[in-house]
Amino acid sequence: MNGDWTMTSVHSTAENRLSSRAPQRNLQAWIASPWVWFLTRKLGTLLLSFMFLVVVTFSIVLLIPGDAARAAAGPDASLEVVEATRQTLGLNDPVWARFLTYVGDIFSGTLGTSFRVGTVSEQIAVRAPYTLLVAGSAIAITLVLAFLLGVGVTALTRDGRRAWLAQAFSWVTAIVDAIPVYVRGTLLIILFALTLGVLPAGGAQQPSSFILPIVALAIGPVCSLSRIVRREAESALQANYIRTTEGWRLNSRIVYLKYLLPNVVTAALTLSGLMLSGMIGGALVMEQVFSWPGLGTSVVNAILTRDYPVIQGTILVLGMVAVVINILIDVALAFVDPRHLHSRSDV
Amino acid sequence: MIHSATRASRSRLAAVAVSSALVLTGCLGTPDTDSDTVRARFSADPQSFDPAQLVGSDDYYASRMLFDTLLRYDDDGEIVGGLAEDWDFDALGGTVELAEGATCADGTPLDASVVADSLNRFASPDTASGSKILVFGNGDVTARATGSHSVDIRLSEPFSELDAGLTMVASGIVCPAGLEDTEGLSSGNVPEAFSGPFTLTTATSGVEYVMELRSDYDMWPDFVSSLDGRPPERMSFSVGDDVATNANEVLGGSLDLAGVSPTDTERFPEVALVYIGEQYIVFNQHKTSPFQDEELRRAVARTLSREAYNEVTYAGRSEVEFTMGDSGMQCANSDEDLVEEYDRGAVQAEGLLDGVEMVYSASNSFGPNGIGAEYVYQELSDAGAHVDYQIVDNSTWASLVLGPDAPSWDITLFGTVNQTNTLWTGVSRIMGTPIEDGGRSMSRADNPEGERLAEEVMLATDPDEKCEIYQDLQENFLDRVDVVPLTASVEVFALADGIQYEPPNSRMDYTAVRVEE
Repeated sequence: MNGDWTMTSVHSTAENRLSSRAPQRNLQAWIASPWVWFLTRKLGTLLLSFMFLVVVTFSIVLLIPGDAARAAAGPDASLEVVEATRQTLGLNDPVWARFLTYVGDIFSGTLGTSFRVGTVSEQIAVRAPYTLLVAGSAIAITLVLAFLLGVGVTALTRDGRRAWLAQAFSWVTAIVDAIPVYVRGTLLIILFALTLGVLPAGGAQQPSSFILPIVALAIGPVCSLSRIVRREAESALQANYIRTTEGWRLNSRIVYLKYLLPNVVTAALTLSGLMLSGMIGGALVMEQVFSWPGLGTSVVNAILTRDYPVIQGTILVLGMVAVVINILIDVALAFVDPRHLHSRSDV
Repeated sequence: MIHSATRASRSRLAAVAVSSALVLTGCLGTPDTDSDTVRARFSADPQSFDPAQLVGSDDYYASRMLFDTLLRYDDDGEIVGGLAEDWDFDALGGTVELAEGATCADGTPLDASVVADSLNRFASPDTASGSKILVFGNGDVTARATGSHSVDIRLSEPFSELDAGLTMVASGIVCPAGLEDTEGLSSGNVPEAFSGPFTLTTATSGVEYVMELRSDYDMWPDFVSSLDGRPPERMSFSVGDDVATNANEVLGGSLDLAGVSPTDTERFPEVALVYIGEQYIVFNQHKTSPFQDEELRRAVARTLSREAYNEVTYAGRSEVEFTMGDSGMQCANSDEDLVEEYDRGAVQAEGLLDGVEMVYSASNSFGPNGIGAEYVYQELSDAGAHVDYQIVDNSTWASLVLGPDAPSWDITLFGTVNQTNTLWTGVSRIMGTPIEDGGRSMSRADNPEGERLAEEVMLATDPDEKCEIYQDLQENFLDRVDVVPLTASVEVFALADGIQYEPPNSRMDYTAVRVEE
């Protein structure tokens, strides 16, 4: 009994010692995990980008010619009124004081007060959904359609079959991709709004107003990304691991989805990061064509009226969205192919 | 056979599914319409709904719907009553008798004290309204209720354009609730502040502004109430400055009324022409400028063709002007002989502008991509001048030519937004105190005779006498070539079927939009 007790006691002491070391080991294992360093690097990238954007967005308004106070006071205002407006807007403050105010406004969450009405964050809150919905939908459509088209055409044209399809795919995607977004938008307006009369030519008052801007924005990247996917898929089909699956006579669906797609995704995603953040820029151009009430038209109007806080805040937010998209793409890449966890190209 | 039948069946199924989805999501069919709502477009967000703080043209258009003025222009260019039914002014002010029955949107009677409070606040130096000088002139202003419906307005300096000034929407009457909350007034959040026929019910920056017709409003001026059709129950304004998109949307049915390019008018069965102001060349006669020399100014005038300018800037749809106002403006000169005749060939042959160095500053807002400014540059260059051509956006241009740095430009293409529809709006830019000394004059001309005539105009009370002096004044500055008149500034509005719009006196006023019965 006593011996049993002793044995049990010794055993439980050892267990306790082991269990007390377990969190330590887990912590060490966690710290040693490549994901920790990867995510830390990404966080560092995010912070550096943020600081860079804060400085850049503050500096660019200093380079804009013209007098913001005159623009705010109007052409009929006397110099006295213009000067009073300048004082009210804080434009007489030294640059360093204005920078501190800007940084303070960012951390207060308001992003500053518009020279017209309300805070910048309020304006962005109204406008951002329009831009993000269009850009986000276009990004989703691009990713899905580009992979479907790229892999699908590769499968259908494999080993020289359906040469006409390969040719048609190459020509159509090259031509459509070469058309600038504003021309694509105009062509869509001519076809669907003016000729067929089934969709509105612009504005955002109706649910159907969203269709043409999204299509105009997505159709180019769909073409370019699907061409990349096809090229990657063709190369992958020549690889030994695919030949091996054929030797095993695996179902072609399994071959394409389980073995081919992940390898294609890696390369294509790398390029799509650049493409997708470029799509945000495309959205801004598209907004002009469709009179879309997003952040692009907001920035353009703010530049024309010299509304410095809106220019700064909106470009800062758009820049951070582009940075975040690229980081998310990197995370997705690392998830699909862990070799990317050790890439130091982003440091 | 079975295989192809199955494939055909699948195709049909797919087509039906896609069509159903499109119909269900509202993608097919004509765009939504609502006969009680007229869908129009602002070119930019109104920056303020406070009439005293209007800056951009859309600010004026929006406030005209929300705030009534004491006086108005009718469709013949005559000043008629708005909230006032009678008025009697001399050069230093006068009395206004208000019409019975006018109310604010919250039912508050628009009596003399409400009107006086609103005018005093507009004219106060604390309000710092840029429009005050155009409504009341340079001096101090006092408005006082002398009865329940009588207001006495006193000016410390003579200003004979007071009646025209009080047509300006900047002087629109703000009801007491708006004066108590000027911040809310500016953002349009005080519906009780409105005195006009519409109230602002939705204001979403960049997206939509909705104005609803007041059911209790009964102050339509005679000329407006006699327009065909009925006022829309609601006007919904989206925001966008692309005239090509506007044209497409009117044709596509998603807009009822929008500004389009003058070159686009043939695509529409109905368009309305709206006069915004005037366009002319102004010379800076500062001591550093070559245009202190009258003969050089005259040579420039001979290099510019009004007709050609109208053609390139407005596809010939605007009106050629012979003074700083259009032919419908009170007292405007219509004598073509007072302006220089176009003869650039002779100027070139005589070498009048050969090697003359000048800084030409212009905004890119004149015509598509600033082609109006480009035309002037080409003519000057072809005549042999050495032109330092600075074409910039409107804000940069305004900062330069309306700023205190007098020697920074020599010649500019100027466009007024003539809200009072008077010659004085333009004249005050070339007469009186220079900008850098607190006035409005950008020409800095040494013109004692013109100054004397300008003072006389401000003292004239009889309309005929005023026009006689104005004619002398126009002869003075046109003979000296202080300005080179070109054309009226116009905007062309395309109308959808079923929409009537006859802008009174060709001036922008959305309260004159009508829906056909």
